[in-house]
Amino acid sequence: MSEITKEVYQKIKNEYLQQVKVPQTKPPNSISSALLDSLELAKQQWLNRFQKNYH
Amino acid sequence: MRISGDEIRKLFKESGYGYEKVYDLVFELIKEFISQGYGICIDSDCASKIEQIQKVAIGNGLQIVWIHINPPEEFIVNKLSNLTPNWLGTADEMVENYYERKPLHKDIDLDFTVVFDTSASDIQEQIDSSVSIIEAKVGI
Repeated sequence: MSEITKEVYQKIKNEYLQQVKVPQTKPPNSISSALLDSLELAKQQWLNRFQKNYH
Repeated sequence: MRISGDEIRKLFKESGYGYEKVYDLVFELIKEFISQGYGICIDSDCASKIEQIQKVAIGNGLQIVWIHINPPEEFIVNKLSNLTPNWLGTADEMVENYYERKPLHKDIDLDFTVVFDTSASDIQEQIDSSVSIIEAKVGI
């Protein structure tokens, strides 16, 4: 297996950031609202994945 | 902000590399998004990274909500055995990987806020009720 250079690492990081769903809201001012955003997003993603994989 | 270990692992594999830098990238992303004010959902088997997660949380004054996806072993093995080959490998390889990682979970003593049994028919209700349970846990 080839060595993972800094360039390769950065390229993969950029690819991930392009494909990942970042919440569209601005960075929230409080940890509580950040948690709410994450929970709602996680819930939708869990639902999608569970329905796809397990049912 | 959800960060998926599998999705990052898949990118390394598709680029022709191994997985040795996966968690370097996972934690780099976690720290970056925390610094931007996001809460983080780590979608990954965290069994071997518990202390590292706790360290990041303490360092940033964050509360951790541990979630355990815990269907019966028979269900897991049956599901893996019937999966079509994919980037993770063949069904046999996935079953083998499950048994290889099983000891990592043996002595875990975490205060799980939610435990999901994904084999149960009420999985939808489990997911729905988990939101309020987690909100209560973190005081929101």
